[in-house]
Amino acid sequence: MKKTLPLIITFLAGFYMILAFFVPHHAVAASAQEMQSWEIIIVAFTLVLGIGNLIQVHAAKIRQRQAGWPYSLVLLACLVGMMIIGLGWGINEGTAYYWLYDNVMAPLSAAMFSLLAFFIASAAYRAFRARNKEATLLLVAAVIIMVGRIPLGNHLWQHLPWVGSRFPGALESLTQWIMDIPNAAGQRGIKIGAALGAVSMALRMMLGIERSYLTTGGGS
Amino acid sequence: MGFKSLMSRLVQIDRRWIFLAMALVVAAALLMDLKMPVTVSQDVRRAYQLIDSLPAGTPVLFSWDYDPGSMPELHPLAEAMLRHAMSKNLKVVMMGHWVTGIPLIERQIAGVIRRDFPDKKYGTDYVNLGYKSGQYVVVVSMAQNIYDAFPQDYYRNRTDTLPLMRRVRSLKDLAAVVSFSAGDPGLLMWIQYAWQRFRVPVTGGCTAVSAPEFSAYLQSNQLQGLMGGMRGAAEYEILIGRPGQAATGMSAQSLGHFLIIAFIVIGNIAYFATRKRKEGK
Amino acid sequence: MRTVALLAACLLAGAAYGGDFSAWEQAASSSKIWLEARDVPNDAGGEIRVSWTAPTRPESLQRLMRAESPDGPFSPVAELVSGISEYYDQGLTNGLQYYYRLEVYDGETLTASQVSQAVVPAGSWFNTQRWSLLAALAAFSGLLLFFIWRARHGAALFVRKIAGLSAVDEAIGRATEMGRPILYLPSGGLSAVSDIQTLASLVILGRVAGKAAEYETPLLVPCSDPLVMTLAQEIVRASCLNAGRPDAYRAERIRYLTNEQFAYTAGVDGMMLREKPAANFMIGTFYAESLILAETGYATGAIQIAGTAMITQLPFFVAACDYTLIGEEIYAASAYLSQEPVLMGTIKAQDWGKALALGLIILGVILETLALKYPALHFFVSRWLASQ
Repeated sequence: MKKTLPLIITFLAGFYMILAFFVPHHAVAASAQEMQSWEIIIVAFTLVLGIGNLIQVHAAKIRQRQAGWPYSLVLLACLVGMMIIGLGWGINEGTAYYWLYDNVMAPLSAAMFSLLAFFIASAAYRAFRARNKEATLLLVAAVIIMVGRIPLGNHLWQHLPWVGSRFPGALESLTQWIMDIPNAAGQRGIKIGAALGAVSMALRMMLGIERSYLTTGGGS
Repeated sequence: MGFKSLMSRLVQIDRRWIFLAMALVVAAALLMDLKMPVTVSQDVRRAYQLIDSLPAGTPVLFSWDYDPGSMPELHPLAEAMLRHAMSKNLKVVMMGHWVTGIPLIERQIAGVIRRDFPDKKYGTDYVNLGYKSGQYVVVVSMAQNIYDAFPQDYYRNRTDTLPLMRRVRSLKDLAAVVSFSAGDPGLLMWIQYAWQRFRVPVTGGCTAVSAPEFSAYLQSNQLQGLMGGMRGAAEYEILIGRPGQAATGMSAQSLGHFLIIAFIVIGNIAYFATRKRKEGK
Repeated sequence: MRTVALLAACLLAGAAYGGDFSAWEQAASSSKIWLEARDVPNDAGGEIRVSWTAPTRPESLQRLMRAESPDGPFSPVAELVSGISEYYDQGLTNGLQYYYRLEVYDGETLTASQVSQAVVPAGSWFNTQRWSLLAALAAFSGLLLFFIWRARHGAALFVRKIAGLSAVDEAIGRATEMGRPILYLPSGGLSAVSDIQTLASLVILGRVAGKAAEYETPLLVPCSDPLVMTLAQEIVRASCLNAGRPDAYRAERIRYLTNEQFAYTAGVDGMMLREKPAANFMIGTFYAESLILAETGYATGAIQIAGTAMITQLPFFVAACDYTLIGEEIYAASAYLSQEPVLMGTIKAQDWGKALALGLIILGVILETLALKYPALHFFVSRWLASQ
């Protein structure tokens, strides 16, 4: 029963959502909408699980004085501090919470994102090597896109001797062609394959063939 | 140090040198305030034309689907489009699908509307609905009844009491949806639900890395124009005749791209030099 | 202010007309407004689409009126600015008759349309725009069941080698030899349990956890969604039990970090640098964090296996990881790793589904090309090969 009941629930819920996709009538749509609202509520409650886990893991780390325990202390202090400030004085403009958001959280998150520029440079340096025909093709396409996607690239192209004056829009057109034709074609191919894979996975779960995610182990 | 030994060292270069070079180039470009010529692409022009063609007073939805992490790239883009909508006297309904991104709406209300359009009134000309958990479920619910999806706005006013929202009872009452998107939930979700199910035109902007993903949607007209990252924002700023943050950032981006190309060239020279040596042995 | 004044005038004038029926008749007869009301097809019911063409000026105001009888009383439904020519009237009662009329006030005169025909809102029992999708779903399900049936009857099914999945054992073995942990990310900083890629990743996690338990190698699973964390804990626990090593399970190694994208990235990067895992698995939905994670993992010298169906992140993984599962390969993982015939059958069905999709694309291209000469064929494509 412990194994069968989740499978029955999965099948019924999955089948009902598929039914609701094809049957727009209120009799089906309203209950499907209701089910989706339950999902929102359940997901909102799981945040408590997450906070509980954070406190549990880091409190244990502090108690046992494990390596790096002061960082756990900082984490818990920030967690509780932000909660108290937000609940006590509100989160709108002009509050302490807003100030912390604006001056601590926003710059920290933006700094993490900006690391991408550095990592793209180092990954490009390492990976874009003309090792074989395919890699050379990739490299050439990447360089065309990188130059063609920035205003300076097009500006410089137009000032190139001979080609620049004869074909002033060639670089931009070539860049757009690479994006619209080979890039879009490849993307569509991957998307169709991935979509079919996702449908197959969903059907496997609904039919109980794939049950590893239900923690009862393996396929059947 | 001989050429080959130099090449060999270049192949194994500590990546922190690459980071340092990138930091120096970007910082120099920003500090020197270099100006780059910006040409407007077709995708950005389409987004601009969608907003520009709407008659004054038409309600549109702006969705801030990003958080502070993607702010440097998406904030200028949202600012340019909000400024355009305000100057066209459109009525803007604002919301967001990322809980940590909602204060960013407040930032833009203060930085664009209150500063440059002081005559605009909250509730009549623009409304901030804030955040509601549920992603696509919220969109579907908005299409059925917006007051059910958002009974209160961000400031806890009852939505159905706001003059603008009395005209906007459903998603279908909006002339367009504009999403500034850093991922999911974002632009793709709006295309799948707002356009595909309810036929509300969708446009917006995304981070530069995710822009190629949308080329298929642009070609099939499921997406009415797109601004990809900083460059898209710079182009939009040019279209509205107000070059700003993004146009300034284009110099850093341009030089950054050229630096990466330089690294690729150096990397390949070093690679071939060392490969030949190995083959020779 | 001007708009408010116009609106007030429009309301007053409208009220006056509503009260004086003969004046209304006079206005209606001279009306140049064409108005049509129809039940919205393929919906839950309770909604009518009203569309019109009216000669308006930019400053004109329009007011849509509704009644349950052609003789009224009409009550206002919406006040709309000039330029808008359709309105979806919602919240109506299915089965009741509704009549509509539009009034346009241009600052001087009020013009009204004729009363529309009676419209009865009703819910649909099938969305007729989705026939093609239903047919596709039925065909795919049929293929799936057929190949499962074939597999159960002993048919040998071949699935090509997937390098990324073949390397799973190698990566775990390497971590064991080096005495360092394995890091498994079931999606990036924006994951959700309802995401099918995350579920596919959790299936692979089960296999990795089983092997790791067998070799007694620590497995670290930082999560960005509490529900994913709970599922991951249960899956790892079950895998340890199945591997006969229940003591290998440590709940604190499968933990929640945060659901904030870049804070999660920072947390995982920290784990990579502190714990120095010898093998990193990054499988599921990833966004801008993909390269930051993969490059940090590369710097620590770990063997890296990534997998995602996120097209824009694939190039980053390909550049920075040793093996990358592309798109559908992550969904094929459980079948490939277990080699169970029934699961392999579903992979076969997936391949045939792809062949079918390819055939439809070619058919669509041919028909659309021919439609340039025979436009009727375009209808076939737009009606049957496109869907909502």
